Amino acid sequence: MQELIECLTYDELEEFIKFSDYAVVDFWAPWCAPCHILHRILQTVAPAYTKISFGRINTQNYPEAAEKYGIYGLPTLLLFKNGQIVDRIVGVVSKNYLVESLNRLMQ
Amino acid sequence: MKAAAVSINGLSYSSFADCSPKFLFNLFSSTYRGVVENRDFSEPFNVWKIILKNASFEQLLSRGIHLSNIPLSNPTYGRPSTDMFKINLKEELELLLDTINDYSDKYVVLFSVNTYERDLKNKKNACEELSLIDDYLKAVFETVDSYVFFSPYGFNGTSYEPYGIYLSSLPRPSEEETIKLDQILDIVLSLKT
Repeated sequence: MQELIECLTYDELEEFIKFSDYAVVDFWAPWCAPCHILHRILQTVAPAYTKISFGRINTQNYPEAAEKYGIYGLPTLLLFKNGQIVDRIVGVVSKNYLVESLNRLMQ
Repeated sequence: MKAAAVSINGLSYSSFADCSPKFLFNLFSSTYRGVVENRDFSEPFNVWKIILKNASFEQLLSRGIHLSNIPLSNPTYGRPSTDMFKINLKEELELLLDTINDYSDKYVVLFSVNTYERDLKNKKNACEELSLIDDYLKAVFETVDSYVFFSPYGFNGTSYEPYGIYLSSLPRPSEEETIKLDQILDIVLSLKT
């Protein structure tokens, strides 16, 4: 499966959000089992949304990212439109729920 | 007190998302869980040498662990042992249940399911196989008092993944850490206490 989800550093995160019309950032950590499930769901959904930039950031390596964006549970997806947070999804969600959220983001 | 540790080599949480195994998802939501991390993957043989810390069947038996079907060799290491290239998944899972019934009163049975990984190499999607594993792990769960279901690495059909699963009646050693291969034997030992 082609990897459409960019692995981000803290330094890259700001520009990734700033220069994407639509962005989804997955805040995760290796020890977090639900994070691995959500990542796979995101991988399967991402190809259908070519206008959305998908990224993920390891909060174990970059705890400052979690602090800056108020991430208190993992996994958390933040959905951005023109650099602004428009939705926040905490925990594992179904593929359908994710698709609905991405569709709303694109409206 | 019956205890068992079952490894399903190659099983990853990605497969949970792809196949939605009913029992494993329920267990995932209700038991201790974690992620096994294996960044230096080489071969299953080497992975198992690390897990077992080079201890022999007899050495581990004296510590209360009964090894079965470990892919350190072919035929597999431990008792019972199988030919990894000839046994099919259902036969292997039947053997898992038989071994637990035969030995888990006295020992912690440490059994490796190896054919799932082999089957994944031959097909893109192994949800049917995972469904069968799901049924048998449910039977194991209903048989024993304490358990750990884990995988020392994931496999997606073409490449290895550095993360495996961990579902157990025991919490992982450190809350915000992955489980390393050299921690698994201690976890298995602690199932009996």
